[in-house]
Amino acid sequence: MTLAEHLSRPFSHWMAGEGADADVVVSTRVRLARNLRGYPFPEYLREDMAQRLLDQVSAAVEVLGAEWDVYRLGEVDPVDCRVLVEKHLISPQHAQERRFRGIALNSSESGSIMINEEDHLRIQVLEPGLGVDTALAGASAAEGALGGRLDFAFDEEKGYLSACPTNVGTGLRVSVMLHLPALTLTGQAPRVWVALRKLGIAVRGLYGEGTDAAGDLFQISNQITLGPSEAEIAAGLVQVTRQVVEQERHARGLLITESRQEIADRVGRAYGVLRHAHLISAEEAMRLLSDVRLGVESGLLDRPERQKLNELLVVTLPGYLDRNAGRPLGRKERWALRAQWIRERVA
Amino acid sequence: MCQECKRRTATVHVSRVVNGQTEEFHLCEACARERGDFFFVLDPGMALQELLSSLAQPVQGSVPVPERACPECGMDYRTFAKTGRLGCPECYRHFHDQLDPLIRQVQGSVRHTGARPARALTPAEPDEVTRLRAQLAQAVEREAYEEAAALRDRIRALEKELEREGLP
Repeated sequence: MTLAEHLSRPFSHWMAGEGADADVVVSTRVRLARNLRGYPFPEYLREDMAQRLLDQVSAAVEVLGAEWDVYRLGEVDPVDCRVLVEKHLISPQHAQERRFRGIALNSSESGSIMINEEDHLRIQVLEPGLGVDTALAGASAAEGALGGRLDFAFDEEKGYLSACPTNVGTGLRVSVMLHLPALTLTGQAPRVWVALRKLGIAVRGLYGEGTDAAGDLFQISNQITLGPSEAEIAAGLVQVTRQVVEQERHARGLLITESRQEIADRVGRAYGVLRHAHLISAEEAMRLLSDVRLGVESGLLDRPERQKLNELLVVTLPGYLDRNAGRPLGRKERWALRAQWIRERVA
Repeated sequence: MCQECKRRTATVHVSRVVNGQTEEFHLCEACARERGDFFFVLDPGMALQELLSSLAQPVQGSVPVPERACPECGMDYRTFAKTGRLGCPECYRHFHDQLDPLIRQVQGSVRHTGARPARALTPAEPDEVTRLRAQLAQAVEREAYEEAAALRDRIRALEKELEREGLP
């Protein structure tokens, strides 16, 4: 598959809206950090070594089968890189310094491997809903196959060695993206965050720092990577996630029974604006899409379907809009194009 | 105040160097998001990394900071203390005494119990000794004696380790 085909298609596997607890859990990401023995970590790689490593990993990726392709970011346009970030396929850091960096992608975009990011390899699998087991199995399988061709730096005591000691051991980060409008609306979210942090779970807004999340979207993930096994880390995060999901459902139930009119009004207004706006900022779009999503999940609205809502999280972002227009857009043009995409999709 | 909407308080401060020119931006979160070129989804590990970097700052009375840089990649401990990131896999061994308490503090453990490479790779393979010996020979040839001394120490350490594990 060409990179252009990946980029022009809004859909990515994680947006399917399926899977366990998909009324609250938008998607799951599992990533394994791996480094090659005998090379400095990417930040300290000489150019010739970085190039050699990129070649070596690209060749090794062939073992994963025909649905995988490697793209060299040095040959990719910055706007295209931004779309990869917006589709959650690479990190913003990876898109910034592109020389000697690469990304391997499978055709469904469920799997991606960042090459020469903070670590030599960041193998990640994205699944819709709460799909930790599937994602971990996928990432481990890819890691195992690549491990047959690449000599990963491993220490008997410390496990897999990573550029930052916060990733050492399993190199595993499991994170889930949650939509928590009811916990936010009822002011319960801060209490939940305090509890999660005590359990060694990191909480972030999806966009930007802090827990003041746009669109009521939050990421929670494990902090500890050394000590417990991969399965234990995954199970711990699933257990905590299920508790947050239950709390969110409970809060939604309360809102619907006790303030039905207010919520129906809020959801209806959000839908109305999205359906008919001609100029809309990213911030307003995020906020209203969250209200509409709450409406769909609590049965107040019967459309748009989850997958459309997930796609809208990405296609309303600046990179995607610019790329589709074929040029960098001005502020007003962007607002207009965003409104148009939304109108067409929420109808 | 945000320089874009001129309404909200600027909470995002970015300076960017483009072609040697420094540009500064002071934006509110909404406008920063709208601009998109500061699009940032932070790695959840980030806060921990900052913590780690602060812990790595030498404190009086703690294990002394090693003077010698990592023989494999040349990174010194002070650089790690600043960035929170190591230079190469070998750094874990070289800075073991400083890193261990740090890792224990951040991770709560220093012992990996998870997956391991399917191929039976031991921490110090005999192959590695062979490779280092070749490097040593080259270093001596070039009269790079400091490098040679470092390599010799490395080889001795590895051989000791192999002996301990009963490997040839």
